[in-house]
Amino acid sequence: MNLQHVVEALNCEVVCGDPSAVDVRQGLSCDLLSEVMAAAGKADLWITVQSHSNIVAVSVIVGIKCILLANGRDYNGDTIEKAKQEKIVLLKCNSGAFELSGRIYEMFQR
Amino acid sequence: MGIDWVAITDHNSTRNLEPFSQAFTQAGIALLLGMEIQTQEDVHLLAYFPDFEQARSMGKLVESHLPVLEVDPERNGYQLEVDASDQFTGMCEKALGFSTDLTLEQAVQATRQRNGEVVFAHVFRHFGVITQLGLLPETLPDVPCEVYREDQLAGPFPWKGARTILCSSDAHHPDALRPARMKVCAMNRSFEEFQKALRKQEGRGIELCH
Repeated sequence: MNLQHVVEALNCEVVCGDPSAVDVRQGLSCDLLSEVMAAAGKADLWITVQSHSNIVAVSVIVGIKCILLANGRDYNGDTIEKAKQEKIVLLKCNSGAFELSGRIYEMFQR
Repeated sequence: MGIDWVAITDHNSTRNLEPFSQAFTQAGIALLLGMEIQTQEDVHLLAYFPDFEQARSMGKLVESHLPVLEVDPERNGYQLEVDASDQFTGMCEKALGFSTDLTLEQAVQATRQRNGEVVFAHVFRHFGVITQLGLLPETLPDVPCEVYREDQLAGPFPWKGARTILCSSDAHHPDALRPARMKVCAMNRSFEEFQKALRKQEGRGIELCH
């Protein structure tokens, strides 16, 4: 599924990167980064409230292409800069991780 | 037990450092003034200060970044302020057990602005930086790491040589103090010497006991 569909369906704000250039197939919801390292599997879309710049480093290691920050949280400058370098799409949304996970899961099932 | 130098690092609080310093001085034990800050990322960061003024100042900053919540002492525990003779003098009603909204980088910077030193606490355990953030942040390349057990360092950690490693008891009550597991190689038991040991300056350093 093209990431642009997710952005439009959930009314996400694009913080950096081009969602239309990215396809996603599987999601992950987790805020503990060691757990993401261990359990990301084939996930390429990650929903979290963790905004530290290590989310980009971890995404690069496990192959995540897009991070969606929930609960209206903000990324700091470090994180955005690093994401641009590593070509990771950063999205943010006011909804909570539970709602976002449910809606995206449903979109993947269709 | 042979311990003559300890640090007190209460969770998000520096309120009891002065009375403990008085009591420890009477017992011939030197005290490092510290605090364990819980950052926005749920990382435990140890901070050590050169004097009471800087410790108090950081304590106030940290408390101002705690969530405004009502704390029920019967459920969350009594957060007592005490004097040197172990009489309680007050009670803190802030939510000291919760995360601050200071980022890890902000907490490090605020400590260093107060001429303090920082250490990542129990890096492999709950609330340790590696557990919370997956790997050591590139943004903070020179922060020493504390490990619970030295054997956790076995394995190919590329950062092992570069960072100072500490191994402390993390004792939450006096009975949990065990024989020392690290030696701080220093000329005396002062903050300045501890600082040099952390930075491996002028022949000072930290040696882990085997």
